[in-house]
Amino acid sequence: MRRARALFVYALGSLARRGRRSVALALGVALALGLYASALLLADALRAVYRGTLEVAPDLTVQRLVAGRPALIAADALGELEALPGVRSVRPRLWGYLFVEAIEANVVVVAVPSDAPDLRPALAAGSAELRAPAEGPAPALLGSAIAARLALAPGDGLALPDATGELMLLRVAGMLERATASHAADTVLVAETTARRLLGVPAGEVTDLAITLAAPEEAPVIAAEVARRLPMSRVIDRVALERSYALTFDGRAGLVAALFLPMLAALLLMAWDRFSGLGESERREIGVLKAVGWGTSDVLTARLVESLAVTLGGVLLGLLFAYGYVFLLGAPGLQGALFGWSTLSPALRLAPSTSLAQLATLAGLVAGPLVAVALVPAWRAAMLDPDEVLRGG
Amino acid sequence: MPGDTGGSGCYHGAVSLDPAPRRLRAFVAGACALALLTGAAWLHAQARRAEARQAWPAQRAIVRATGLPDLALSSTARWLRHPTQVEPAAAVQDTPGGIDTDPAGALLGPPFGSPAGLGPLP
Amino acid sequence: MAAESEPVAVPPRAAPLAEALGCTDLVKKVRDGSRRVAIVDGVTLSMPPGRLWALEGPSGSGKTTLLLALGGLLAPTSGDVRVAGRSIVGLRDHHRTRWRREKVGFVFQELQLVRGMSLLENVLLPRVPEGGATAEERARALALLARFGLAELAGRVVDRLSGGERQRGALARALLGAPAVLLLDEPTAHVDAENAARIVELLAELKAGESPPAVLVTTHDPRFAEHGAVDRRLSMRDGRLG
Repeated sequence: MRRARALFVYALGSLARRGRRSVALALGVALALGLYASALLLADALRAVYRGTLEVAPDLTVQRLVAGRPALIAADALGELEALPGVRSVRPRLWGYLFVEAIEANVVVVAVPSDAPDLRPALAAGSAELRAPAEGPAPALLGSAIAARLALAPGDGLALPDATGELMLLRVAGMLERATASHAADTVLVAETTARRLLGVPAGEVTDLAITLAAPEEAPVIAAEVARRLPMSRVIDRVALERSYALTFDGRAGLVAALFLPMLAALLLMAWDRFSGLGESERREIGVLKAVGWGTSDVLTARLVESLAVTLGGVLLGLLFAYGYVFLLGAPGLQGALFGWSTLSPALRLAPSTSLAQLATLAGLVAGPLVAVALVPAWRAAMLDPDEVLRGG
Repeated sequence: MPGDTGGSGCYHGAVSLDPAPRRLRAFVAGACALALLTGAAWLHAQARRAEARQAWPAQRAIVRATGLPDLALSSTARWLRHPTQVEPAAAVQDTPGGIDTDPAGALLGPPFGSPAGLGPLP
Repeated sequence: MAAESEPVAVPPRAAPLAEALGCTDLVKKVRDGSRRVAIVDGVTLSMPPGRLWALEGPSGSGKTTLLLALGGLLAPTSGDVRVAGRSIVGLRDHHRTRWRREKVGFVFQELQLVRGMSLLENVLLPRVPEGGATAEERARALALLARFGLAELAGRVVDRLSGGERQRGALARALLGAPAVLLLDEPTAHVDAENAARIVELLAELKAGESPPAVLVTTHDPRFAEHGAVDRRLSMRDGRLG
């Protein structure tokens, strides 16, 4: 114990004597790891947002394909699907995109059926009542980014271009909660008739069909049955939904990771230089230590402590840096690369969801090679006869 | 103290006779600072998670009402705005059955067990 | 700090040994191209405690190699080395290291001290693997430094010491553990005449102390070899004692 303390104090002294290089190395580790960890934290936080709502998404979505592209589907296909065993309900969905020149952005127009689940938890202001009155403009619920961009409040009017190119006046019935920005920042919720007029969808046709199953685990079987009944169709199950998001963020985070690998390599080279280039002075130091009666294990222990302090300090600093950058600063710069460059960007307050085990693995992957790089040359020098070290052998 | 003879830098001038307490103090101070920051980050993370959980009911209400689970991250191209609903024969799709969410080739092949309906096109 | 935990029984220091340092048929060969050359070629010597011997010889005669082998810093090709009554050749590495730390003081021609550290810290370096210096050892180190005229400099970083001061500092460190054997490699080579004389005097004074070590010094310096305190002059040529 006393030996450990004495070697520890000695190692701290070495650290201080080589202060500038130690700090440079720790900062290098912190920077490289911090960048990578930022991408990881950000991607994981986004996946968490997505997962939080996945369980209320439809079990199956049925699209019709024409010439290999999704096309409108006849609403009467619904009856045939509802009759399938295991299907609890089938909902026709009507939604699409509308380019709004005033804000130079696409908005997503979604029809909310009158029997849709309650929207009130998502409402920030106004009312969720979307049924069109006999007279006057039809009501609409606005996503938070649109409302903010156009500075609209409940009761205001909003003119959107309809399918014939004319402007259709809507009344802002309410605005969605900021917390829903992650899903609906650019969304305009309207009644079905309004949506048909804006999107130009003829009566009797819908965008796609959403199926809820009695037992979600039967999805693959029922999906195959649906595909058999409706030959030109594509069925999306929940596995596909989740995989899309995993792939999206894996892909984008992977690009950042690819940036990180050369950085790590450069860092290892720098560390190798720092520890093995052992300026002759460090080699001689090892020689002196052996000559005054230090054993190889004493030299290596001191060295291990020194390199562990540098790398673990750097690793922890890097993780803290990444945390602050992502969750306090909102990852400026990196956000665009990972989210996509949105015109109506949602203001997100992300929550960390990366597991500690994952971070520890990452830290180990960085710290391990660095410590090895520090130890191997020291071990070689310590194994030499002091004579060879002293003579610069 | 004989060592207090001044000097330019930390390690070229005065050094107290027993450096152990000073070094250990510096180390403990540094370690404590890192530990405090880590603790603060952890607390902040807990608070953020609680906040995120509070946002779930609103988010779920939207997804229930619209049936669309996609995140509003991109308002430009539809395969970016609704990647899960993207057409399987979009220009950027490389592999039949692969969900190619970003326009790029891949080192790895498409995942096994492609979901029903995502098989090769008729 | 002697040898409570040492596995082999050691004669107590109070009882004078007949031999402090010795070797028998010591050979050290090194590879030179495709040949193996004996740098030390069959040296036998036996040195009682409290003596000061000088080892002379031209460069390349094998003096330094012999010294390193005697101090346990270099494994000999064959032959035996005995330090304070114990053969150190067959010892396992960590036993030899420990024996060396307790029984042998070494002063190198160059690079005696670790740069960037204070003089006192340097003197106490051998204590680090034992758990650091005790208050007594610290006092002893300061006393040694005072004896060598370095009291004022104990806290100074060694980079700012003169060559002579460093040489004396290294000597103080070698004596810290009250070794049975003191080995010096050209201690007067890189210091001026005044400092050289001072080092010789210090070594001569050692003989008067309590349980004095056996001191073996390699040197080129006739002033040293002819000093009255030197008990015996060995001369070495081509790896052999002549």
